[in-house]
Amino acid sequence: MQQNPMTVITEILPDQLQKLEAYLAPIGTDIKNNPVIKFSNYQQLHYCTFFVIPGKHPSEVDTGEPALLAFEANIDGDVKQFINDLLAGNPDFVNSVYSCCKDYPGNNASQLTDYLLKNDFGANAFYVAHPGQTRNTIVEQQQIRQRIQDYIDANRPALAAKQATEIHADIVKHLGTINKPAPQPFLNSMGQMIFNGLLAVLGILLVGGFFGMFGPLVEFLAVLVLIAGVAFAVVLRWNEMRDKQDDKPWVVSEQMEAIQRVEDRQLQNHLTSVIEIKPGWFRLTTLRVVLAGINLVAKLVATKGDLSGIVTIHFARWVILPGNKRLLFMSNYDGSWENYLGEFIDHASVGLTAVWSNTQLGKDRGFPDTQWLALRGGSRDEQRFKNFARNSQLAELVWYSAYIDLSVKNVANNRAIHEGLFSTTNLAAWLRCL
Amino acid sequence: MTTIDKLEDVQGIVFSGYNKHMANCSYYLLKIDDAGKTKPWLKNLVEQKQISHGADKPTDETENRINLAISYSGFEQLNLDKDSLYSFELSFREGMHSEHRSALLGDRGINDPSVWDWGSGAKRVDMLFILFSKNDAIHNASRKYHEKAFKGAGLNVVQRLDASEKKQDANGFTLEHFGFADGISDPIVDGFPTTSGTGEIATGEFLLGYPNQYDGKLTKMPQLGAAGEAFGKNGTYLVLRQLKQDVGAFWQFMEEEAARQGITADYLAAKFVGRWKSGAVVEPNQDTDPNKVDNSFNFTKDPHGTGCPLGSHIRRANPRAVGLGATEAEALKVANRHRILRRGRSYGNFLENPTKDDGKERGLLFICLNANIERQFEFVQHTWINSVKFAGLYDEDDPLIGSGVAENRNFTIQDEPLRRRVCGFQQFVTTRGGSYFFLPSLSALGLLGNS
Repeated sequence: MQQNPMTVITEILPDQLQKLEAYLAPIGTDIKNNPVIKFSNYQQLHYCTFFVIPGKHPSEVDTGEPALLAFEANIDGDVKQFINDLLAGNPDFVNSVYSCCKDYPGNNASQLTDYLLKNDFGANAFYVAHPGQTRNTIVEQQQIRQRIQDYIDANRPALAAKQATEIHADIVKHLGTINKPAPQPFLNSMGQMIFNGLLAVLGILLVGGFFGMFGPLVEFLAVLVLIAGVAFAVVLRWNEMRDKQDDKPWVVSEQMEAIQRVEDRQLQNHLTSVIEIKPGWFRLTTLRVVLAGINLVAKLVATKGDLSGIVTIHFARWVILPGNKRLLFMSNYDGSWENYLGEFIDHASVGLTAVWSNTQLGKDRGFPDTQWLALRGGSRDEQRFKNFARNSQLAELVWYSAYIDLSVKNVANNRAIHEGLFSTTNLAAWLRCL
Repeated sequence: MTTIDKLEDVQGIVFSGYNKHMANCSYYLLKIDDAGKTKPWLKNLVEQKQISHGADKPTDETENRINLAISYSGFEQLNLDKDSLYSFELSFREGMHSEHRSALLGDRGINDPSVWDWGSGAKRVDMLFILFSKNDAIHNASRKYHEKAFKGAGLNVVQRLDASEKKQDANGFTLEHFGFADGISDPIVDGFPTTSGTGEIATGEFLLGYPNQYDGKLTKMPQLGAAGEAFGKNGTYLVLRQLKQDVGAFWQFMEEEAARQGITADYLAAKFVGRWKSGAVVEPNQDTDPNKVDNSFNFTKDPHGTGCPLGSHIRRANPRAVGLGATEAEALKVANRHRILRRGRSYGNFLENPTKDDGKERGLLFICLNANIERQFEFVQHTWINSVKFAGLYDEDDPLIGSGVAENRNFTIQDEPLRRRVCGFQQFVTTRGGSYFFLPSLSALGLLGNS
């Protein structure tokens, strides 16, 4: 089953903002036991968050923009199905939240569904660590692992004296009936090949076309692409040379303290970043193209819990907010903020600089100086980049994780354990997973 | 290769813990009661050349060495202006005892700042004065002299911590209380007078004002008024933690658990640490201490941890070239952005029979230097030592010094054909106090004295 992003963005009525925050905050502080909503009842839900995007974030300049409410959810299957389930299970919650927002249609379920769907902006780019792994599968596979752990702990001396095949057989026997894992989605195994094929075809068309191998029309198009490329490079450099990076000293605002209050307290964290897109069509278009590229890589290549070297992200998405002025980034990740940002710099400087070099905190407060979109500078300026990221961050009112005790690597390992129960090849490697 | 501009401007402890020549060491944790008196005292210390620096090499004749570091509250007491105070890094400004930092460091439960001996609340510490001496007689006399001077300088002694008498093994390595050779693995720092040729880690990781591990960028430096960043240059951040070691409980547990599992206590303890008592790294298919210490390994010969377990202490403290990247080079690049330089000593007397506790406190006065506390010390503590997910694991922290799991702790020992697991043990190391300090250059100390 496919995982889908839901990003409902609505305008908060100015006089309802306080009431909305006061309603959501206590749910967030007691996510498990609050009397209002039990998110774990929704079995298709991996993660969800609610947060407010102030109108003047991140520039701190008041332009009269209204505050927005964002509702992010990472779900198995259909978005509409999830909304229907939510309205059936917790209608009061949904009505309490959205009656604080503009254009709230009243408590009629089908009108509310339409309202939420209409304001769902999905994602411009969406990354899933383990495509196809449903929330229920992830939870079940952890239970299988736990049962195996208990069995080995109780019987280790006897088991360790046996051959690998016997150990495997003993464990399978002990577990009794276990369902076979669902096959992985087609793109998990074939995506990389398709991606490489696409690149190869494009390359051949471009180079071959340029030399007239495919007739005059392709030649014309190839030359056009080439000219467009050069023009892009010139405009880009012209823009980059005029951009000013943010030079304010590192900042600790009250917002930052609010973020730190909940950060690094548990295994997983949620990062919410809202940042201004540099003005003008050029940066917006560039950003759209880069995000489309990342989305393609996420669908085809990064399907094994590894987004360009970052092995700690469960879900991530980029959304250009309505009005095309701001970019929203959200991710659910393992470990500390410091580690997460470090991984970005250590492994994924190109991708992330290609996105965020098109953004700024405000006028003349741009992303760290970058050359050629992503090739030099940018996030490689470690401290300036971390400071920039901090200043773009927002605190969540509500954050729910369906499996907060599992890392991305745990999920992958549990799947390998489950699959290995049905195979006797390479048992040494399987035993190492236990 | 980087050259340090003025060795005589850098406090000596950056380059050496003085283990060779200075047998005695006391750490004075001071509170500034009257900054008006502290400043002239500070000025005098610098002018009288009493602060040891990198250009004077101690010999057998040298009697004392003094180094001095100041905490954020110390700088507040010394009346630094708002902008200067703001120029220190965030973790330093918040302090080790603060809500956010202590949660990040795993200082909860028995490690909580609210139950520390010092470093929090009324026992806040403004200044760390380290006095090294050649022998007992000189140390006693020097202590009296300086303690008297503190009184005249408006300084109140919150706590004095004395280092243990030095204990060495047959190979000449210093031993810590659990009985393991220690201090084997400090980074070889580029540009240090103790390093020959190009070092493995950039100077700027441990000393401000020099290129760091991010393609030679300069880590942000604290500033002072008109002096600007010159104030921060040749200085560094110093982390001090008093870590109590429960030696009796540690070895008792090793004996009992080893007997239960049919292995030896030394083998089990070596798996916890990742090294044998001699300091030799544990290799696959090894049952006893080879007693040959070679620190040039990088875990590429032990990718699955069947020798040195994936979650063992030394693998967490420095993962070297395995696990943090797709290639050896990339993993090493990442690991080397999070190194610390250790300069601490043990405290308390050594236990005669390690399985029989005598009720006295002993442990490690952990000191490390780093140019960026968040990226170096705190990162190692949070992301490597205390992380239950380190190296793909599930629910275990550093079995030796971790505080990521409060009780009923587990440890997995990778083995063929099947892993071994140790379950249900306690924390053997407890944080008793701690603070972040800034170790200024000598010229910066002079500026403070004159301010």
